[in-house]
Amino acid sequence: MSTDYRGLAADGLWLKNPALVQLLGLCPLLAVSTTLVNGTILGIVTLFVLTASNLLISLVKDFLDERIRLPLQIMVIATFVTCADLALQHWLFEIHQRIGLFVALIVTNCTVLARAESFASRNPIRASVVDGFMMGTGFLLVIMLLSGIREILGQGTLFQGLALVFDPQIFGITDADLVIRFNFDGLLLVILPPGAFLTFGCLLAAKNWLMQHE
Amino acid sequence: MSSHKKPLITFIVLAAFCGLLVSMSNLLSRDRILENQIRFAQKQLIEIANDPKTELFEIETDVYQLRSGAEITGVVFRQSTSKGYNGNITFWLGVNTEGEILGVRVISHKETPGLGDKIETGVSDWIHTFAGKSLANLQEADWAVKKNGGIFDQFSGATITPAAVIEGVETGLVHFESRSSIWAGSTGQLIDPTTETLNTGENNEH
Repeated sequence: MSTDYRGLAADGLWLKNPALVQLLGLCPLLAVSTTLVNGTILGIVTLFVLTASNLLISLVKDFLDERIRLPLQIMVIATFVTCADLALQHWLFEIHQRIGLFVALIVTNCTVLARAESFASRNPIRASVVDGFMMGTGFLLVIMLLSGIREILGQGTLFQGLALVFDPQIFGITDADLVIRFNFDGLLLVILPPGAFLTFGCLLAAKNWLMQHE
Repeated sequence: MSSHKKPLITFIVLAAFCGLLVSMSNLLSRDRILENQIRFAQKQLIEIANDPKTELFEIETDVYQLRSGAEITGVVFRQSTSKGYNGNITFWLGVNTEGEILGVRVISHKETPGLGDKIETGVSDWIHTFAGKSLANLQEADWAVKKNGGIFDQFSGATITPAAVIEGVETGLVHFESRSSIWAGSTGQLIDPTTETLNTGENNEH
């Protein structure tokens, strides 16, 4: 039996998109989507954790007794989150200063556990990795879209903090070179937590409209 | 009996593997993370000194004397406030010999991104408004955000964070007054942030 990778991709990116359809992992999605750079980094870390945990869970799935499956899955997820957190402090220290709190919270992102539990613990290794990667990419795209919209509407800027991604001693770039500033101050509401819900609600409405008119 | 054993073995093996993975990551990243923390703190110190000729002398833990040649130009020390919106806000406070603020730089905080993080230099210029202020040239009531009758801007949507920093800075100045004579008499240990950061780079691995 050949695995339907195309189907997995369609599920992760659109049909069963973790954020827009399953409505999972909304805590980090809403909390960190204040600037595009923050959102994107968190999305990438989530993508890594999802793929890695799906791989490891799928590897040991034959040994997962149902009595210990959940704690084991959480342990595996927490392991990769810790590794990712350390990696972020290693390479992107100043970014970590800003979103570190939410990186640790990826452990509680239901998307990760849901994929481990409902997919990786029942499917072959390669399919599980593809599933994790596609679900992670689906989450990444949504958080990029949401944080991009919120940064533009809420602060009137785009790419704020991008300079922190590059080592200033090597590249010599500052935020002034990279940040796009729009000619307005931004709507405060969009940056505040209620704005996260409102913006996300609009995204959901747009997604539902698109699906009905396909 | 054996039905209990199998999950236990799985648990132990997987836990050992996960533990190994985390320990390895920690081992590989530990030195660099420490270096990043030091470099980040020193970057802030250099910014406060705002003069390439200034040298830093460590006179106590987290207290640095600024000297230009033989002349003491000021002191930079670490202060912290717990009055923020979310946890401690730690910052460097630089004060010249007259008791005027040279600069303030936030080292660590957990304030809300997009709101309270305007205390960072990378996000807004707010923190620079402290430069030149002192206990002598401001009234007690001035040490507050405008909304509360002071002279400092609040952030739209966030008052707690700037108010906490303002109070922390004022407390820091009081602390400075009580310690300044002791600090002025200390000689301390010269540290050179520029060479220290360069020396800990990759080219030092032989």
